[in-house]
Amino acid sequence: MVTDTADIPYSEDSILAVRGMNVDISVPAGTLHAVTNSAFHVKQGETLCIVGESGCGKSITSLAVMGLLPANATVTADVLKFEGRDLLSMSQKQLSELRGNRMGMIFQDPMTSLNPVYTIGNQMQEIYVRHGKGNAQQAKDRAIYLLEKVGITAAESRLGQYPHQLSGGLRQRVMIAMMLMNDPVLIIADEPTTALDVTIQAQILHLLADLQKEFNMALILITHDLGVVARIADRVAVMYAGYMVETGSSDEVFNAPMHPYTQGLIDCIPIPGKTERGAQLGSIPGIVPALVGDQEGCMFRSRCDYAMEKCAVGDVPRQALGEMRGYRCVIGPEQAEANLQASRAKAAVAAGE
Amino acid sequence: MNADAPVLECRDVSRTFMIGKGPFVQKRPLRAVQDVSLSIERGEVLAVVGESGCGKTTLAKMLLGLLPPSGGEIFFEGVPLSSVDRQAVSRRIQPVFQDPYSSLNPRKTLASIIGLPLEVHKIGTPDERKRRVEEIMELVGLPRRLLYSYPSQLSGGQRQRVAIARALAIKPEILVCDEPTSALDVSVQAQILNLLQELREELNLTYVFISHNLAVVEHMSSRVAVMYLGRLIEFGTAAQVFDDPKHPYTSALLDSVLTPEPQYGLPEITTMGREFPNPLNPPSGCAFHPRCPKAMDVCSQAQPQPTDENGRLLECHLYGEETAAA
Ligand SMILES: Nc1ncnc2c1ncn2[C@@H]1O[C@H](COP(=O)(O)OP(=O)(O)O)[C@@H](O)[C@H]1O
Ligand SMILES: Nc1ncnc2c1ncn2[C@@H]1O[C@H](COP(=O)(O)OP(=O)(O)O)[C@@H](O)[C@H]1O
Ligand code: SF4
Ligand code: SF4
Ligand SMILES: [Mg+2]
Ligand SMILES: [Mg+2]
Repeated sequence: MVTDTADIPYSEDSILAVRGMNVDISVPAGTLHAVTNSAFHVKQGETLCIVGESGCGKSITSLAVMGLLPANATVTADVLKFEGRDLLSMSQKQLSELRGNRMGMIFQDPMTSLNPVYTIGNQMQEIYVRHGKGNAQQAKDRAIYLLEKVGITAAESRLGQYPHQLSGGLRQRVMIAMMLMNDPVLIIADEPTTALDVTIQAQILHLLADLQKEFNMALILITHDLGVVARIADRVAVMYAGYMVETGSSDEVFNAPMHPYTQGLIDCIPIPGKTERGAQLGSIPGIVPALVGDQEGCMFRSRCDYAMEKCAVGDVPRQALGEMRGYRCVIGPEQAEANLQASRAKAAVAAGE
Repeated sequence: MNADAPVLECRDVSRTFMIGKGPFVQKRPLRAVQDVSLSIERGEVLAVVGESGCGKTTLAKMLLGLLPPSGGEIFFEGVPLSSVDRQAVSRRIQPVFQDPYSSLNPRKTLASIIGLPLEVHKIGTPDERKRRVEEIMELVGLPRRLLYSYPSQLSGGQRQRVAIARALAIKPEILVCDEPTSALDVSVQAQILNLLQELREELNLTYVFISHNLAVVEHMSSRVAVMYLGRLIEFGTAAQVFDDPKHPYTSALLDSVLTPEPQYGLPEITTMGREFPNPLNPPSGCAFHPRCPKAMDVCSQAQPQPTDENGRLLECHLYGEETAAA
């Protein structure tokens, strides 16, 4: 099946390029459409954030790219290429060769990737030696270099420590150092700071951003936190119910959101100094719909202030505004812009401006 | 009872846990809350903020009468809380906890979860109780058809509404909300925050609102208590604390808030990146000194004393007479 995202251009030097990707999961109730017609790409030195509320398909998107989907899931795509190579035609062995090597991964809970019974040093060494990068001594030197790089003091003495002996923030730093062992060109970080306190979160994000610049890597950061996205992303993809409903540069998406869902999400968040204290926050009524079974029309329509009859039928068109700027809604750009201005004017009146 | 007294007041309240298992291990004191003095006025939203482990939940449990202080005293309308009957306290102060998944009994229907406090306090006939449950469900935005549903059949936001309904069933005056929206998505968080605001106005409630999300706290609260490693380090009106933070820790916390404003980028990091200290082995002097960008020699030597700066409480050597004299 060729989808309406198949032709969105991407440059050949994209580290990762995805077009028309679907992920279906078979569950007792039927087929769960976790990701539908997804399209994104990321280049060297670029940070793409995938953002959306829980259950909208962010993690499944990243697992599909890494070849780590659960057994009951199937992925199809018009394009799914990493460094120009087709990921869909790779064997499990080839995929596992990529992971921890050209492709680095960081998860919300570092304990899911750190083995509790081995020391930090053993694990960092293993990943290096396994991918044939060098011998044990070279691995040790590199581990110490990288632990220092991620801001860990007394790096050499940390090599003998076990993961549980470290605090959450330190563990996440170790994860980052470990992921860098083999010079990845792409980092996929799924909610890397969600479990951390705000002060530590800012620190870890800074670290990731600095390393990404220094080593000129591509970074895909997945989060539900629009605040994190606004501060770190070059480009943003907003997901809802398995669809990428809006894409664009960080400035575009935050300053001129076109999709009613993006507009609604931003309005839900109180901004100190802007949102009037105690005033009603913008909110999106209802909850994310079930993703099981056949779908028709816009998945957001049960919660959308602008929903109309035509939102319930057929496929929702993708409104293309630029190379990677677009949104999926029946409302055209002029009207969407007018709606945004109107809702901002209303909010300003409510805030007594 | 004293009509002029604050509804709740902590005077030098502390809570220490003894940590260490086994007969040969020397138990060590963990000071979860230390010498906290603050008052809560009727009708206000008093927020308690700070990083995880700073003692927010321990303080909340003491305010609810669920955990006795190991030092100091909590007063309820001027009367020591310890001398008031547990039942009488729970009629007037109710909790709303963070995790609506674990705090709701999975084997009970909404009707019995929300109605339980009415039964415990022997309020009304079964018919009256059922009517009250329906009334309160409507108030918190739960459709009546869910009356005989189980928590597992609800969304996260609906479960939090159940927790709020249960707390409100017996018409308490004070809600102690401990991270009430931390487990929720932002769209649902906004729904719940709006609901809490509406309920407060409609029912004249007083809130103790605990959160680690400063943007949410700024939005909800009238006064803010900032805690660090068990101590109250800044306490003032929302305007004082947010518009003009004085304590270096409060400033650092505010600087770490990431709002959806792309023009700002990531905040600059200074010494705050250092880890939160081990509460079993707290730093000497001001416990914040290893992470404080403004630390002076005295900070590692002496515990700063609380001082009053135009009605706001501060615990920092940068403020107060000590420093002026030094
Ligand atoms: N192993 C699985 N089996 C069945 N359904 C799953 C599985 N993993 C994820 N899902 C479903 O796929 C959808 C997308 O999930 P996920 O990608 O984890 O969301 P997010 O990361 O955005 O919170 C959700 O509806 C989720 O329930
Ligand atoms: N029942 C308990 N026994 C031992 N230590 C506890 C107990 N409850 C809390 N603590 C400790 O007290 C400190 C404060 O905890 P808590 O009040 O839960 O903080 P917060 O709610 O701010 O995250 C932490 O160091 C915590 O480990
Ligand atoms: S397609 Fe219709 S329902 Fe969907 S976001 Fe646009 S206006 Fe709303
Ligand atoms: S007392 Fe010293 S270390 Fe503590 S907050 Fe004030 S300046 Fe910083
Ligand atoms: Mg996820
Ligand atoms: Mg807590």
